[in-house]
Amino acid sequence: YAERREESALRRSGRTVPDATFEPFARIDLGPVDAILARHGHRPRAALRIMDDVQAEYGHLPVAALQHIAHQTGAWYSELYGMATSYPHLRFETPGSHVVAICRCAQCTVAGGGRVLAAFRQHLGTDIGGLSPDGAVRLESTDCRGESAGVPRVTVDGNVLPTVNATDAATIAAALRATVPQGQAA
Amino acid sequence: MAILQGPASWPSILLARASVAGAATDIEAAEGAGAWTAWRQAAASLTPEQVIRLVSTSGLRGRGGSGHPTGAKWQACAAWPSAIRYVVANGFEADPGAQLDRTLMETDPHAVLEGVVLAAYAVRATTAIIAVNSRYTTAIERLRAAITAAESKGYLGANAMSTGSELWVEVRELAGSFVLGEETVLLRALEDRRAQPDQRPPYPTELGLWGEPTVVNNVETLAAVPWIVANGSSAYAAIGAHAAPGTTLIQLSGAIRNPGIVEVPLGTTLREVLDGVGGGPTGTFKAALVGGPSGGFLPVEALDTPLGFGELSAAGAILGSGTVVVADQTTCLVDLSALLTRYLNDEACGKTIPCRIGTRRLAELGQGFCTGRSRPSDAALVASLSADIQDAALCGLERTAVNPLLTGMRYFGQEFADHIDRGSCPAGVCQPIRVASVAH
Ligand SMILES: Cc1cc2nc3c(=O)[nH]c(=O)nc-3n(C[C@H](O)[C@H](O)[C@H](O)COP(=O)(O)O)c2cc1C
Ligand code: SF4
Ligand code: FES
Repeated sequence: YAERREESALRRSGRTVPDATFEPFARIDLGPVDAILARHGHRPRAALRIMDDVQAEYGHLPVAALQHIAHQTGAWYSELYGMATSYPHLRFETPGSHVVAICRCAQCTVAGGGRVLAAFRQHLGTDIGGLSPDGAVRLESTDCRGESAGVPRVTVDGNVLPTVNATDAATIAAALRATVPQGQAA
Repeated sequence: MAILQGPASWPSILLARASVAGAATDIEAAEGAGAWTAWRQAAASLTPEQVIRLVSTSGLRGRGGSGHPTGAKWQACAAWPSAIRYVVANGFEADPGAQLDRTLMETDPHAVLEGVVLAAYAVRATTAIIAVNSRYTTAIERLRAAITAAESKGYLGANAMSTGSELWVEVRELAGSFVLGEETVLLRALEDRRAQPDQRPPYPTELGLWGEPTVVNNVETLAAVPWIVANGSSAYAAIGAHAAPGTTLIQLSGAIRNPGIVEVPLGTTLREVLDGVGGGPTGTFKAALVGGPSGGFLPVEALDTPLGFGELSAAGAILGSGTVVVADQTTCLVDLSALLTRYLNDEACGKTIPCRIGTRRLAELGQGFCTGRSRPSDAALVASLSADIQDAALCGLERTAVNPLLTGMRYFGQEFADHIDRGSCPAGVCQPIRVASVAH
């Protein structure tokens, strides 16, 4: 509800709203989707497994593929769309060039993870599960499973950072975004 | 994470085979250390009803967090009229800071599988599903290997252990948010549907997977069942506390000397676990967060609380995921409880108003405390909003999401008052700048 307010304020501001979810309406090659559907017998009861496989194939869940799954299985598009949005690992946008992942467990929170996450939120201009507006960096969650000792678990493109604080987060965010030229992402 | 050794007087049930070489991957080694004897015994000489009675009299209670008596759950499922029943083992381990279930599934997949098989036999289910977090690749691999090995020995399959009935076990990998660990959400995910909880009752034992009666148990609960069948229910009831017999896995982390996982008899006090096994805190102890992100903060005075379902909830915490995170004096509990509330709000599904708006308002109030944007009445507002959320909650996430803030305010009221009334943070973590009140 709070993010809705932010979003509508942004829309009212008259600026163009970067919305990566509109991109995937572009046509895609549906061959792999058909193969996956055939493997699952075109059953709507396998929808989650079908979407998992499609994401594994394309790196994301293109909306065109979702429409195709709806046509082929007979499941309502709205039902599939609602399902896909209720699973945080399914994403409609392309993965982005870099991935920053942060653990939000109690121990990482004790170790200062809250401020690091706030810094990433601010400097990447997105929240967990989202892509920075320039399409360069994706912010995701990871699980440390209690392994991180005194440092919140943050990974950049899969590599664990030995130490990180809010200032480092700002530097990392800026450095990652600088590696992708504006307008060329995704 | 290290497996810690408790005092010699603590029995080893769940981690008994953790030290047996090869028991995790080789069925012969596991059998050499006692695996599958309970199922052989039960198939030969016990009726399903007798298995349920054994589990009921052992007093085993669910380790998934709720502490529901396992025997009663099985009885309810077996008694519901239906031709098809399911058993689902919950190995999702929703708490991102816990790895107890993973440790169990990786070190002793045969105990989990044998427990699943005994549960299926007891309620006459022919299909059982072990739902495992998709990030647990080793556990998934070992469980699948255990299933294949058990099938080739005839313990599972078309004529499982010569009982004349079929029994199939399957591993499903699932990914999702914190709420996916909740049993109705887990069932919806197994049905390939939207990850949102359903109202209970009807409980899954009546209306579960695909509308059929279903037993959902935590993998740790199930792993204790073979021991009970093999050693008798009175032997199990004699271990641990009277109200909650047996052992459970506890994970110690945070500001503690020996972090790790230990098998503890229920009824042991937190102090015994933290000081005796964990070696005490590294700094000056401030609070222990018991039960994962939706657990409660317990101060040093509450450390004599025994580990048990009733005792912990009376103190404001839960057994939950089984994790105990120690926070020292450098942490600010106002900040911590606000951040945990925000996390729980982010992970909530948004199906109901207390879920979508209640937890969000709670997180905003918590954040207000840290940034100096709160009113003197906000503490009372948190208390009344929490009570409303607990009353109106659809699922356990919301019901427990109020724990961090409520226990924080209950035990560390002075720290909250410092933030709200004086705009200062004693630990020096937050910058609650008191904005001069403009209008009254
Ligand atoms: C938010 C939430 C998360 C949960 N996560 C888990 C989990 O990760 N693993 C688990 O076994 N039970 C979890 N539970 C508890 C389950 O709903 C359920 O009670 C349990 O699997 C039943 O097994 P038991 O009777 O053996 O405890 C969770 C509950 C809630 C409300
Ligand atoms: S308006 Fe009501 S029915 Fe619609 S999404 Fe909101 S709460 Fe649900
Ligand atoms: S998380 Fe939404 S109803 Fe519980």
